[in-house]
Amino acid sequence: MSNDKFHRIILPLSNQFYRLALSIVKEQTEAEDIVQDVLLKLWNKRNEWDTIENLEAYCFRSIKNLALDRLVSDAIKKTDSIDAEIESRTFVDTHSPYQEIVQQEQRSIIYQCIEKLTENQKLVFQLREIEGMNYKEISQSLGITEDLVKVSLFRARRKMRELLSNFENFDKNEW
Amino acid sequence: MKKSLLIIFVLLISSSLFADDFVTQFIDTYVEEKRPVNNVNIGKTMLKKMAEDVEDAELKTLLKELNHIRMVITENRKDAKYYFKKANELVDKEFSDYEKMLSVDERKSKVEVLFKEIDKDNQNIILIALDNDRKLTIISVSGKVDFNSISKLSDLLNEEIFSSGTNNEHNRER
Amino acid sequence: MNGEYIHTLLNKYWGCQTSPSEEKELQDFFLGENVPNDLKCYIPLFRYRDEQQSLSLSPGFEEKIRKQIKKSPQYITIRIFAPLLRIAASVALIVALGISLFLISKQDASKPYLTETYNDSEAAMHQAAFAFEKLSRAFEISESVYIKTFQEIDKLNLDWPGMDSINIEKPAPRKKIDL
Repeated sequence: MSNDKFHRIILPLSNQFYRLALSIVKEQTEAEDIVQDVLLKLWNKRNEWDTIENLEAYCFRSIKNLALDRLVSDAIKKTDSIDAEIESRTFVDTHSPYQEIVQQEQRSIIYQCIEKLTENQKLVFQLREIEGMNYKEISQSLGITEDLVKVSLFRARRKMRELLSNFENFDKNEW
Repeated sequence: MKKSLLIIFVLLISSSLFADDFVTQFIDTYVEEKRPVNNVNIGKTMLKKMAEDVEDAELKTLLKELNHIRMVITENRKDAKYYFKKANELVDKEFSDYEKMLSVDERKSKVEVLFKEIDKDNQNIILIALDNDRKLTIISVSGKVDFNSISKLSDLLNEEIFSSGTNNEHNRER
Repeated sequence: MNGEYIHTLLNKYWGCQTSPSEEKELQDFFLGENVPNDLKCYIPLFRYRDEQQSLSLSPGFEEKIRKQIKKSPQYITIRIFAPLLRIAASVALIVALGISLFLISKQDASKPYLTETYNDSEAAMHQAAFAFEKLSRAFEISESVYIKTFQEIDKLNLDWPGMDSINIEKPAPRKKIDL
């Protein structure tokens, strides 16, 4: 029975866990490790699942906590540059090397903007913008109140708007 | 499920070293295979971790001041009554130096709380409760505890659980 | 999709009043060709969303997990009874991973016979809350507080509601009877 729950409900969320971990540790292998760790830990504790009200939210919280822990304790220096693989990923609609450069620049702009958000704002931003979760789901997954979720998202988007509209280092015509 | 050789974990061995704890002694002396109970042990390490994981500063302090929380629960009517008798026997035998903090003796529900002060920062509390003649709860708490801290701990822990979003609502509107 | 509509929708987005599907609409728009000049600065944001949404684990991850699960010991709970605890104390067995564990299992997996909540502070939190709630309620429902030494009464701060109406009298000193 627990076996089935694990395969039916938890494993399909692996990619979401991965993306959340990745947004925190910013390194693919590390993020995968984190997901693996959490899933296996969870599996080993399946006799305690009955005491956990919301298993999915519990997993998200575990991912978040473990990723934040790793960030602190790892020797991995958190730099402004992003994992080379992600950065080199190109969009399908790239037509020329020049466009590729433009897109790369766009990408670092957004990463820079995101770095200016607070911890909570980043996490809420990730879960809403990327995973499309609603406020209640986000609040359960992060272990914060729904009010804090709303405020964080509001501030995050406002910050993004402010930063992006003030970014003068690029030539709008190129886009 | 595989059924054969029994392997005991080291942590269980160490728990038998806490011979002066009511719940440990109770399990050692009276618990029988045919009358299984639920047992929860929260030790110092776990309490420290809990203290780290909570936000509230007061709750942090209160948790750090605890040594352990142990519980034995059974919801089997016969076992509850049987073990209730045995728990009282154990109190009389080995824990008679404890002070009776309070005792409620109604027809179907009985509660007793016992207290012993080891030193200024170290107290032991034992609760033995029989609800409706069918559920037995035995709790032993050790650490810096008194009336005040108990009700505070109860409120703060409930708040913590509530605010950490472990409510069981599965409305996923996407 | 006219400019007016997009501007309105975008404002809704900044105000956190859009639904996920409206946000997808915006995303699709900003990834397209006809983004007005005054909105071009927001393209990176929606590009970012699109790019991140498609990130995934390396292929074979799930398979890897499944394999690992199969390997792990298939126990659910540990069942102990009193006599064995005494034996355990003198035998001191250590569990090594990789050796398959043979354990007596419990029929009812949801009610473990003996558990130690030492890994998961959340489950412990629930248990601790239960313990203190029980203690708290015991104090509340008790009709009389029965404390033998006056010293104990002095030390405790009895400020919870149930105590207000109760008169605490200093208990009479016990007479020692010499036989």
